[in-house]
Amino acid sequence: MTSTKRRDPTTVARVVVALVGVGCLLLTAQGAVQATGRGVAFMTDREHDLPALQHQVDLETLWQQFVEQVPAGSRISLTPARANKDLWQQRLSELAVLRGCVVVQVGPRDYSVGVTTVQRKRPTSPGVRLVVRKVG
Amino acid sequence: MALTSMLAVLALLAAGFPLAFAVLRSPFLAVLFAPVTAALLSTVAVVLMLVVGGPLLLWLALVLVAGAAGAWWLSRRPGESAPYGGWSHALLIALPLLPPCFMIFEPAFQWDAHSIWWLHAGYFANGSEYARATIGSPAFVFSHTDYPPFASAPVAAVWSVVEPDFRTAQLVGTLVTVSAVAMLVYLVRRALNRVSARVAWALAIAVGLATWANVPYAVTGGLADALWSTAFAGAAVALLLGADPLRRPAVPLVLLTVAALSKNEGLIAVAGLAVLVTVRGRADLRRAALVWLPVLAGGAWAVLARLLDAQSDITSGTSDARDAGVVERFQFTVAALWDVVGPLLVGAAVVALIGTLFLRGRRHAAGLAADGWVWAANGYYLAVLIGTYLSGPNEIQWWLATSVNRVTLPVVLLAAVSLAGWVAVAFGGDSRAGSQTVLDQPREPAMSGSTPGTTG
Repeated sequence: MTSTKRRDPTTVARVVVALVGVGCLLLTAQGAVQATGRGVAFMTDREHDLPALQHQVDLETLWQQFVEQVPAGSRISLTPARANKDLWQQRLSELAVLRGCVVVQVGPRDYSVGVTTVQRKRPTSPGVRLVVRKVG
Repeated sequence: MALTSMLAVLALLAAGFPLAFAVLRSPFLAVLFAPVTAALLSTVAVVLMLVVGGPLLLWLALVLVAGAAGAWWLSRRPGESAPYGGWSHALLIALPLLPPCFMIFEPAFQWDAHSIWWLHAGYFANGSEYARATIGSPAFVFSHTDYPPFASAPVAAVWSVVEPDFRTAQLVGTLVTVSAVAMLVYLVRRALNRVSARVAWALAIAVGLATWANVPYAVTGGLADALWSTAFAGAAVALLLGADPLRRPAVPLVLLTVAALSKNEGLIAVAGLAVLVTVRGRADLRRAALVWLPVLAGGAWAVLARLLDAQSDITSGTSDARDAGVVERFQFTVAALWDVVGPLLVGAAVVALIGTLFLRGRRHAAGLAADGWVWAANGYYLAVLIGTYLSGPNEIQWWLATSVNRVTLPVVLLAAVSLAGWVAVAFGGDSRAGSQTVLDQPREPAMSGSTPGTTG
C-alpha cells in the first residue's frame, strides 16, 4: 500500500533550509579546520614552512645587527638590494622605524644601510647580512 | 621573549578589564572583551599623542587612569549584568576558538603585518614628533600611513615599554582579534536568545569559526582584516539581527568604532551600516543617532591623517583605465569574487529565499529581524568592494590575488550570520511562541527602554 499523504510545505522548507544552511556553515568552518591542522604542524615541526621560517630568521638577524651597528635616532639612507628590492627596502624601513631612525631620500645622512645575501650554513641559518656604511 | 609576550598579554587584559566589566557586568565576559577595550584605550592614547604631542607612555598613563575612572562611574550606574555572562558561557565562547589559533606558531612573516601594521606601531611608540614626521614622509608612502591606528596602537603601547619584537606583536594582535571574534560569537548567541540553547550555541560558534573561512592566517598573522571584519559583523548582528537593537548599544558601538578605526574599508562599511540602523531605528532617531559616533571617530582619523600629510595609493590615484579596461577589471573582479565567496553566497541566498517565503512567521516568533537588513549590509559592502577594485590604481590581477581572500571576509561573515538566523528558525520548535525551546538564560524583556540603566 502506498501512502499519498501531502507533506506540509513549511516542514519541507525547514528541512531544506536546515540541510543547505548547515552545509554552507560547514563549508565556512573548513578554514578553521585547516588552520588547526597547519597550526599543529607548525607547533610540532618548526621547519613546516621553511621559506617562512627563513624569512623570520633573516629579519631577526637583521634587527640584531641593526641595533648593534646603527645608533638610535640616526639619519640613514637605504641602499637598494640586488635581489628582492621592494622586500628589503620595506623591511629596512621598518627596522629603521623600530630603532627611531630617520629615513632620508635626499640630504645629509649619518649612515647608508643595505642588505646583502650570504650562503646559509644550515637551512635555518640566516641568509642575509646587514651592510652599514658611515657617511656623515 | 616568551616572558615579554606573557607580560604583554597580562598587561592588555588588566588594562582593558575595568571598562569591559563596566560595560558587560560579567567578569568572565569582561576577560574576553578586555583586549578590545585595551586596544581602544591605546588608540585613544595614540590619537591624543598625535594631536597634542609628547611621548606615548604619558598619554597611555593618562588614558588608562581616565578609562578606570570612567569604568568606576559606569559601574555605579544602575544596570544589569549581560545575559550569558557565566563562566561556562565564557568557556563555550572561547574554547572552540582556540584550535585554529594554533596558527600563532606560524613564523611572523606576513607582508602587510611588517610593512603596515608593525611599522606604524614602531613610529607610534617613538612619540609624537617622530610619528608625525614619519606619517608624512614620502619614504613611507608604501606603508599606507593613512590607515587607521587601531591594529597598531596596542602593539605600540607594548613597544613603548619593552624592546620591539615581532613575536610579541603577533601575540598582541592575535589576542585583540580573538577578543573581537569572541564578541561576535557572544552577540550571535544573544540574538538567538529564543532558540534552543544547543542550536544557538552551535550556530554562534559556527559564525565565529567562519572568520578562518578563506584565510587560515587571518587571525594570527598580524593583519587587520579579521579584526575589523569580525567587529563589523558583531555590530551588524546586534544592530540588524536582534529584535531590539538599541537596548544594549555599548558593545556594538565599541565594535563599530573598532571597525571604523582599523581599516579604511572598515569606515566605509560602518557608514553604510549606520545608514541601515538609522532607517531601521527611525522611530527613535535620538538613540539611532548613536551609531554615527563611530563614523565620526573614523572620519576624525581620516582628517587627522590628511593634516599630517599621509598618503595612500588608494586616495592618491585612481585607475586610468578607459571603458574597455573597466570592463576587463570588472570581469576579473567578478571572477575572483565568485571563486572566493560565490558558492557560499548562492547557498545563503537559496536559504534566505526559501526562509522568506515559508518561514517568515517562525522567524518573527524567534525574535529575529527581517533578514533583508543583513543582506542590504552585505550587498552594500560588496558594491563598495567592486567599485574600489574598478577605480583603484593597482594592476587588477596582482591586486585581486593579494587581497581578495582577505577583504571578502565581511561578506563571508554576514552570509554566515544570515545562514545562522535561518537555520535557527528551521530548527526552532512551535512557531506560535517558541515556548518549547530549551533556554539556558531567562528571556530578555522585549521592549527598549524597559531597563534604562543597562549599558551592555
